[in-house]
Amino acid sequence: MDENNIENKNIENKNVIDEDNSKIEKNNIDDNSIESNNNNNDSNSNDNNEEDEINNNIINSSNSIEDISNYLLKIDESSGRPPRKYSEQDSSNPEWFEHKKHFFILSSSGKPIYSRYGDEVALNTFMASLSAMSSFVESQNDTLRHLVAGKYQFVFLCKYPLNLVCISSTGEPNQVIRQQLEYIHSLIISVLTQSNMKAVFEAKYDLRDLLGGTDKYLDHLIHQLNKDFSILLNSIQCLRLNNNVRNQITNILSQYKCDSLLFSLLISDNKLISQVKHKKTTSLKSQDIHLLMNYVSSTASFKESESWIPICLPNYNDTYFLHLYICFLYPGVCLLLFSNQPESFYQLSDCKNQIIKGLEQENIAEELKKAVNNHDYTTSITEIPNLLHFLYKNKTNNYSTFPTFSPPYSIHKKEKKRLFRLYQHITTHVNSNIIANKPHKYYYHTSQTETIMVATSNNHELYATFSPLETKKSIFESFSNLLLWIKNQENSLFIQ
Amino acid sequence: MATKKKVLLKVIILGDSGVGKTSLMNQYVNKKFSNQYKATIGADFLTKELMVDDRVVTMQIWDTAGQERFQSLGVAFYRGADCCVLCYDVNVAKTFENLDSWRDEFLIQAGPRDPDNFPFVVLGNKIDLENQRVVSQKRAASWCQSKGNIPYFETSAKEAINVEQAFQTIARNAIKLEDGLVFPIPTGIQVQPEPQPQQSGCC
Repeated sequence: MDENNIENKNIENKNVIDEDNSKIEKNNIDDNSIESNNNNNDSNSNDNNEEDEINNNIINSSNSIEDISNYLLKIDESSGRPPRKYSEQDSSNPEWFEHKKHFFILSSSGKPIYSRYGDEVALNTFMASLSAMSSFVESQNDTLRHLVAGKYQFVFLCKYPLNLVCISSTGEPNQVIRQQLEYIHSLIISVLTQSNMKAVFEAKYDLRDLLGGTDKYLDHLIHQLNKDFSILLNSIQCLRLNNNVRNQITNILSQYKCDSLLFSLLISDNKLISQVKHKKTTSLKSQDIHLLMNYVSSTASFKESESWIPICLPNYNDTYFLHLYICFLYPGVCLLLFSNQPESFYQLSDCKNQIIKGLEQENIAEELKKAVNNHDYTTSITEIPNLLHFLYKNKTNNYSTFPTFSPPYSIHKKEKKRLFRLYQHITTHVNSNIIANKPHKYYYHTSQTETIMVATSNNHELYATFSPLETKKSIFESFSNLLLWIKNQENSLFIQ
Repeated sequence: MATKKKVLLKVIILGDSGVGKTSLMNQYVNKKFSNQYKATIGADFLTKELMVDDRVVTMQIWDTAGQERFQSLGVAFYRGADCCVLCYDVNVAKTFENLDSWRDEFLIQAGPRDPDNFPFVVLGNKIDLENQRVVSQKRAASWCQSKGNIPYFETSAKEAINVEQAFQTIARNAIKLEDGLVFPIPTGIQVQPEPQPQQSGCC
């Protein structure tokens, strides 16, 4: 490694601030408790079940009858769902301005569609102001991309007929926030398709009417965008699995199919186990796979029964819906089958039964369940001293791997967030070598808290984090060893 | 995004500088009036919730700047408006004569599907200064009739005369338009992925 090639840049220490993740996580827990008690497989009765469970939750969490009745009053009468967090806030509350990172979706005419915090209708004048800003620039045949006001940065993504805006004081790079807005835009497309959305908007129909209930997926996606390394690297994380077992699974997925089947995917949370393309068609892009994972992990009822939903994959074809069959085979293992026929539910359900049968043979199911529990690893597995954390992306197939946080990062949520934000800056710097129009080959960042070394090639990107007290020499050595370790593990870390 | 939606209407107020657009809006939303004139810069936004029959309607009111130097708000500004309110000052003839160009400007910029039936409302403001009046009610009403029976109200933002009624009509007419909409997607789902470019073989 040539030391001269290494760039020594200091990344500005911008305000890296922890967000309100604790609250969102709490939401998820509530969600889980709903599903664990939900024994009824009939999807029609989901609403009632949810409401019962909500009542149970309240009774568990509060003993005061007054609290319960207050809570029940807040439950949205029409949907039977509990109120969203912060739904009572709007731009007239000082607390609303305290949130570090706001996301807004509005139509090109300035009508509100979604706000991460607060009720979007109550925020309609605020959104109109945002719309006026971008339309003012648009009238000069230009596009508003971002602006800075004091400690806040505004990032705009205008994709007719939607305007997406993020206002944040987190100091994240504009490019990263733009990528997050692109994800959110794709989620909306996946619900409506681009052509439907245009038609609906141009017929002056309120887009909110067709996006009812989507806020749950948007909230979850935004939460994920703020912590998921594989999204940051524009890649997919694979479940760590013995290569032979994975091949067997892939064979089973390819074997059991029907005429209308386009893709079979097996996922575990936000990790890909295997994917098979049955037809001559374009492959699935990582952004679409993340959207699918987001749907699966934010919908409790998918765990209870087989589901059949229309979905548009924006990077595959943003004009049409595909039909998606979803079924959890085992806890944490979800099968996704894509069809182009609206009537193929029963055929796909048969496929699923055969796939399960196939997996039960030769103990593959057991191996798979074990792998789901053993996926997480820490840096200690690499036996590289002083390695604190790393991110690796295989650029040939867009798969990535990274350990879970270990000390010092695992101790405080703030530290995890700080490292995440630091990686956001470093990935942006590494990939924005404007002069050469390709990523920097080497990058070296050192600060009081850590040293991060980066090397990129045509085939990979590796970001490795070490203690700041390490010498360059020992870091180079460890870095090479880490690359070697990954090479040796590639069979199980990535789908081959 | 609750599943059952309240109707949200985008209402744009247009008219010459100083006719009282901001005052009308303030009187309607905040029940306040100030004699002091402060030019609107660019645009201002207010919202009001009201009942029309048994429906809850939220109005998003876009108060624009009448001064010419601010009139570069562009197409996007007018896009998707549900109703356009044209204002003039009954005591200044020029403001009435300019209604034609305000209406044309809106129709060109917003490009509504059915321009002949797009809901406009005309407000003749400052009727509290009756002795100075130069535009007669008859003259205004006949202009409105010639433009496809635009509802016409004579208002005073200062005395709160007819303001509530005018906005009620604005909302009602805008909703009528919305109710007439036919949802553009005939069947819920159309499925058939287009033949994709054959990039790679089967895996």
